[in-house]
Amino acid sequence: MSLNPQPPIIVDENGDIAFYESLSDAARALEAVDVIAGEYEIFDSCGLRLRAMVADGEPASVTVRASEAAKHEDAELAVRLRNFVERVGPERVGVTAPGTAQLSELVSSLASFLGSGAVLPGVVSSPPKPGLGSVKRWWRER
Amino acid sequence: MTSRGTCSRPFVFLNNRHYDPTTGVFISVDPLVTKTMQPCIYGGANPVTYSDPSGLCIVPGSFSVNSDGTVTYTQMGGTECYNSDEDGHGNSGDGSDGGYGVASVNHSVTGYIGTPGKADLVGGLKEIGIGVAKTPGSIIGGASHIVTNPIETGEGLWWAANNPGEAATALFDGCIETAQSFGTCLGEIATGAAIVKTSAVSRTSRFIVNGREISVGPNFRLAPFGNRTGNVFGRWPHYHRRVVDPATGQTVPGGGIGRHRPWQPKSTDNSFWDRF
Repeated sequence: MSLNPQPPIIVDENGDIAFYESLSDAARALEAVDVIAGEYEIFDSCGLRLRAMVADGEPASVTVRASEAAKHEDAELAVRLRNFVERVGPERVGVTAPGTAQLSELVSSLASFLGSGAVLPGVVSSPPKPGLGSVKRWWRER
Repeated sequence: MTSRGTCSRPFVFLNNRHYDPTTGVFISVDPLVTKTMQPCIYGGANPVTYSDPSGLCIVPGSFSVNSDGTVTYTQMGGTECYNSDEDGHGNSGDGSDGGYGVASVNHSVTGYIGTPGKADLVGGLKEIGIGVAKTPGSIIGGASHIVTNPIETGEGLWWAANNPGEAATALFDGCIETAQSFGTCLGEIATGAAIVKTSAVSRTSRFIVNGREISVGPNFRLAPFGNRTGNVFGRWPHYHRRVVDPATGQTVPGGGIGRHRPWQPKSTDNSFWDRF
C-alpha cells in the first residue's frame, strides 16, 4: 500500500469526526495545544494512520503527515465512523445500515454530510466576514 | 532645731501654730523653720508692730487678749510671707484672713505634684514626645504603642501641649525622616513597578502577537485576540469548549475542543445556539 495520504483527511477527536480536504487544511484547523495533549486520531480516507506534529516556533505550527511506520487501520477507522454515524443519526447522514456499511460508503456519506456543513470553511461554505450584515447574509446562504 | 517639747506652753491656735500671748512666742515649731530659721518666734520678733494670724506670715497689726480670755486681732494691712513655690509650701499672700489656709493647701497640692522628679518626668515626656513624633513611619507600631500605652501617649500629648515649640521641632524632624523613608520606599516601588511593567508589557505583547490562549481546565480555552495559525475562524477572538456526553464519556458530534466558537459552524448542529 502507498503511504501517500488520500483525501479527505479524517480527524477523530474523542468521537467527534471532522473531514478536511488536504493535509495542510487539517494542519491549519488543528491547534498545537490540542496536538500536544493528544486529542486527535488522524486517518486518511483509506485508513492510513497519520501523525500531527508541532514544530518549534512562535506561534507553534502544526504539520500532519504519515510516518514511515504508519499502518493502514481501515477496520479501526470504520468502527469510529460507524459510531459517529449512529450518534448523529443514520438517516441524517444518509447511511441506511451503519452496522454493515463499508469504509468507502461511510467516508462518502460523511464527506457529503459534513462537507455541506462547512467542515472546511472557504471551500464548502464562505466564512463569516466582520460585520453584522455579512454574518446575516452568510447565515441565509447556508 | 527646737522641738515641740522645748516650747510647750500652748494657748491660742492661729490656724497653723499655737501662740502664747503671755510670752509673745509660738509654742509650736514654725513649719517654715527651714526658711525662717526661727522655730518659735512670733511677728518677726516684733509683736508690737507685727502679728502672725496664720502662723506663717507676719502681718502689720497686733493681737490683744480680752478680759474674757478671747483674742482680738487688729490687722494693719500688708503681709510678708515666704514664697515657697520652689518647695511647694507657698501661700496666697493675699491678706485675706480666711483664705490663708485654703490658699496654702492649694499651693501645697500643686507643688507636691510638680516637685518630686519633675525634671525626670519632663525629660521622659519629652523623650516620649520626640519618639512618637519621630516614629510615624512605623504606623502600625505607633498605633499599637498608642493603644497599648494610653498613659504614655497621654503624657506625651500633655508634654507636646505644654512644649509646642519643641514638639513642633520634633515633629518636623520626624516628618523629614519619614519623608526620606517614604522617598526611599517610593523609589524602590517605582523601580519594581518599572520592572513589572516592562515584563508585563513584554508578555502581553507576546500574548497578543502570537495569539495565545488562556486555558480554564481541560474543557475550555479562551483566545481573546485570536490565533495566528492560519485558520479562517481562529483569527477572530474565540473560545473552545468541549461538550462531553455524560452517558458515554465521548465528545458529542460537533462538540470537540478544536471548534472555534462561536464562529465555526458544524453540520452536526441542530440549532444556531449549538455554536456556543
